[in-house]
Amino acid sequence: MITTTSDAPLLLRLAAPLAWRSDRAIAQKLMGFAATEQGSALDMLRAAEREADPRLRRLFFKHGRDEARHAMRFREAARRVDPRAVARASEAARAERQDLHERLGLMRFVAFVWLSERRAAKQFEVLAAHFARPAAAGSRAELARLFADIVKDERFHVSYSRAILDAWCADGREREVRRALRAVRVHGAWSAWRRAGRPFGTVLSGLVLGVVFVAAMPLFALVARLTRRPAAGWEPVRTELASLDDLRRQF
Amino acid sequence: MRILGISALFHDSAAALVDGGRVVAAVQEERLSRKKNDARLPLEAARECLAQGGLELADVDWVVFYEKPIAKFDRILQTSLGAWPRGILRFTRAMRTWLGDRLWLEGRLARELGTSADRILFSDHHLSHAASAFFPSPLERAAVLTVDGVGEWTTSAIHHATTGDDGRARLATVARQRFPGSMGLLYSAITAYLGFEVNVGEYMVMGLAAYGEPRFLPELSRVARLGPAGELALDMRYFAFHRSDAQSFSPRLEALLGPARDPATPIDLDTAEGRRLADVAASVQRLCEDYLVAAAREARRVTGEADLCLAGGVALNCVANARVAREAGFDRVVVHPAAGDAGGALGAALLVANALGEPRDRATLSPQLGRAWADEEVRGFLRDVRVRHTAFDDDDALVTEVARRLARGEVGGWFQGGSEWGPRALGGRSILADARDPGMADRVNARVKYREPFRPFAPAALADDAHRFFALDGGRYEGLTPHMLAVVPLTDAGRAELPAVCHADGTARVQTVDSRHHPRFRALLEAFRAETGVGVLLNTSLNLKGEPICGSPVDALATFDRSDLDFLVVERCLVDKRAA
Repeated sequence: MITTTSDAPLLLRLAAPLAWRSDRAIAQKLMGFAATEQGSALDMLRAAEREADPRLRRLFFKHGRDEARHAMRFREAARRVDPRAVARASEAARAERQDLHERLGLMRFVAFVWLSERRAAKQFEVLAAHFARPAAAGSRAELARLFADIVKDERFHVSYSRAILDAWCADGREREVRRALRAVRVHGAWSAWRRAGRPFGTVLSGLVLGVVFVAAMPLFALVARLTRRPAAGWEPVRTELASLDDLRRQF
Repeated sequence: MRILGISALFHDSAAALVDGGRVVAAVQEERLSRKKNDARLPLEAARECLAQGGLELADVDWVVFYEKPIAKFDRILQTSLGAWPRGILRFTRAMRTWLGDRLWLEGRLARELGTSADRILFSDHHLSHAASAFFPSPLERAAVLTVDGVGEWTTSAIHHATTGDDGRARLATVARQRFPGSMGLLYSAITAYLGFEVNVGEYMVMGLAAYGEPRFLPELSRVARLGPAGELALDMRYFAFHRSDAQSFSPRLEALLGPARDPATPIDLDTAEGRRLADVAASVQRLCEDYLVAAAREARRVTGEADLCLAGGVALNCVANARVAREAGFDRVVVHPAAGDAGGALGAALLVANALGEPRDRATLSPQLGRAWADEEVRGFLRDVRVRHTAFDDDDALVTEVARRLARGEVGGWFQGGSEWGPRALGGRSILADARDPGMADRVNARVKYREPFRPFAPAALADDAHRFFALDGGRYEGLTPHMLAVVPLTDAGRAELPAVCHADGTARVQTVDSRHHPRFRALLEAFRAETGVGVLLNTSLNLKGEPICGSPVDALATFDRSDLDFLVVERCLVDKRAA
């Protein structure tokens, strides 16, 4: 089950030099990883909090601690590579917990963990190899070590989650496990599609609204300017919300 | 009657539950979602509040949102149009958000909370703040001053609160200042100018101000004209927040004050540039204090009341609060612990309860309104996840051990009871250390907090011992210090004995601790006094830089794991770093 560099998709290996081409790009990618790991830590720790089975609780907790530590190491590495590029980025602010344990249920959650950790392990294998190459090694040996260290943890995550799935299969729940893996794959593809579509939607709606603002709003803008009341210190008012009618109004 | 209050969709979203006029629970979403300043609808916080009340949403009579969304939309639309054509980016961003989501808030609240739209109510932003400050206070009647960035249109408001013979309170706004004349937005613009994040970095400006002189006041008086009654007018040529979401100030402000700081460049107070930045911070801080004192005096004049309640984000400026308490002429000044937008959730719920005839709860507001964890739960979890720990059977043994460790220089996490309501750690989710050690602030910074060196650490002191170390001026600050909401000078003894919590200007943001709300924390302070002769500890929030304060034991353990804390106490369990 453990991946090696040669198992990693060709695209990952080919894309690495391009994606990690400059200090700025490296720092931003590392902060992106930090955000992902931090988000994953939040999910795993929440799963540990909610799970009743002591063994799974322990595994999820260890996994969560690993991910939180990885986030910290990625963030520190990013700062060392390019402090300016990361000054405004806070992976903790961007990290999102998805409450997968609660939303997916235990089996799908474990299937999700296995699939995503396997993908991460492959990616980090490639990056460890990329930064270990003599051409990249000069100033990047530290990153090669970082990825190699993290791959070790990821392998553990892959193997424990696979072991849980295998145990369920051995208990005669193979069809359920297969269905869970399929559902997680479909969900992942759908999420990726939505993620990819979001920037397009943002740009398109921005363009449409921009055209509306420029072409259709000048008259309203003129009215807004002419009727604008200057801020004039304290204005006496009497505002009280004493009835249900007052409280139902949205203005 | 059960009322769920909601504040959300700007920053610091929160939920609060009021049952029969009594505050049951209040939780900020960030403490549960672990996303700092989380602004999303506080669905987890709402669930948490209901769970604490043993309720389902079906049991709730009303859900109240803390402001009027259409009135706010009106302001955003008019402001964007007023800045045509330069307001294009603000317009497109705002319309995307509002047309896609926020204009349909009633339906969204009903859908996501799982209730019907006819049970959704809307309060007024500043009245929600005012209610949060007055209703849980011990006062029968008061002037209430609310000051923040902006609500719907209002930026500051004076309210008059009274209580009738029937026990029902009346709360009415009697004067207001409108956008864009806003002290909160001015302070935030200077926060951005100084290279800090808006809505987060205002505390850093306050800390930095102690190192500077307000020599830029003449320049700032061109940017913001302040009248004798606190009338504030901003010269909008120096600002950009009315036409941009990303930029608060215009190049003209830089031409006036010098170049803005690049956030990646650390502030070095030994350089002329560092001192200039500190002087800018000191200038805006002084202006903010002058404004708040003048506005409070105006509130006294307008209402004729002897006591004052303060709320709104600007009321978290503890230096200004202390000046109001000293100079505005009120007998008592009370500030709500969650004075920012989060507090609006509780205020809105209390306002509705009062409007619909519920009696006003006279009990003092506990500062720990979030979820608490039973000792057995904590022990079970630590056992399950195989974290080595020592479980203490009684409080005496626990606090004696912790006091001994702190006295020998260890730094520890302290997780007890419900999570705090508001931005301050008050002994529920704290990092504690010995305030007598001159090197302790640097150690806490280097090991855990990684904060800017100019930011001070606060002390927690036994209420009956605090006068020895802090100039509390009788009971002048007693409505502020229990929630760490006033900065006061240290006495000579305080300066000599508590160097780790003494800021550059000889002040500290002290918390006075009594046994009513913090029995175990107070017992710890007493044990520390027995050990050292000083009933004061350095008290800072249990979190890492950029993260919210810990909400659960798991969060505390994850924080402990990634920091150099020597030990962590969760309820009666002590985890030692060397053994963990």
